[in-house]
Amino acid sequence: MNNVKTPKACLQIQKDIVLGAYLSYSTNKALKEHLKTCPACRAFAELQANIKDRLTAEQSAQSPPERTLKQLHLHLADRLQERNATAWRRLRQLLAFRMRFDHAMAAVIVVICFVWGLGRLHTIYPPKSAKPIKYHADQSVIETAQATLLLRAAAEQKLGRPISEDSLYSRFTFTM
Amino acid sequence: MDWKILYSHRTDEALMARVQKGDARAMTVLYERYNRRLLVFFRRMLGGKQVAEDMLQETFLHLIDRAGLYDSAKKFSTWLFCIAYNLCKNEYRRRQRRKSSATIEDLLHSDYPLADNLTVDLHEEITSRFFLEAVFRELEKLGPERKSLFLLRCQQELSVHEIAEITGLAEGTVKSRLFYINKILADRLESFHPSPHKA
Repeated sequence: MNNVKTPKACLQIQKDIVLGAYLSYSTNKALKEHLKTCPACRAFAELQANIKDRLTAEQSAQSPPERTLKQLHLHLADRLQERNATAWRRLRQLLAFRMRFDHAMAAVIVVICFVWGLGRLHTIYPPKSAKPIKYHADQSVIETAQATLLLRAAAEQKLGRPISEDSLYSRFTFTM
Repeated sequence: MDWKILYSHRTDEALMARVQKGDARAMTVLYERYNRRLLVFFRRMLGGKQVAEDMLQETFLHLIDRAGLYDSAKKFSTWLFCIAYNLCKNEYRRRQRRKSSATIEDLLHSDYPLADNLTVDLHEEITSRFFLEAVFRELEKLGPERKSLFLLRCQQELSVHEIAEITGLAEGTVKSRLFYINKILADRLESFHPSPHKA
């Protein structure tokens, strides 16, 4: 670097020129006044303007390759296809749990059997905590558990052996 | 075309939001807005038409691949030049590893075209080219980081705030470095503008 002495005021002015876009109206006015009287700063400003002008001119002289845009379109289409395929694959994975078909069918049958069995068990052995369902008949309230007991007692007496609840309701009806 | 008129009124950020959804037209408009700016940036940063064209394509491929990462609250040009800046850094690292960094001579004898417009005064064109080559010869000496700061400010006319975001430097650092670079250029390019302050 050359041995250059620049006055402090000029240094500030030159900083302002470099960061020109940030100057207030008053600073800008002061800068213009200074440039009228200071050839060094004027030269600095002209150099800055010269560089910017030539760089801008250089930009407009560019001719971007035509093939690039075509390749970008292809890439974008690929990415879009890939994204859709990924979404579909995820959904399939979510549904199939990556299981084989026969395994999946076996699992479905086991679940159906379990639910059916649970239902049967509940019918044969109703939970003790279950509250009896009440219904209205001829303005008098009858509790189903009581009715079941009465019906079962009558049926067992008639058959001469114990009877399950399913058989009880399929073969006998409670009438008032 | 109708869609070009329609899309040309949209902001970069709105177009980028459409690119995120896979809109090829929005990408075309963004490409047309920025291709020259990026091309000239890469040519000055990395020297060479072919490299610059490859980098331009690479930048937009990154844009497509990482579209989901773009935050529409941020300025698009900052994000785009951030990608470009990082690509330049990677290229410099790659060149350093291979020890085949572009020399000043490469840049001076690069395949830089004269202006396409033949009506431009040839003398002016040659002077301009000579002047710019002198500027970039000096910038080469300052290193790639300072050259990129200079280009982002003087060539791309980005704000100090944007440059700080792109480079990851503090705004104060960007300001002081920009001044330092321009001061050095002014001192070293005295032959173009003789300074009366010389002792």
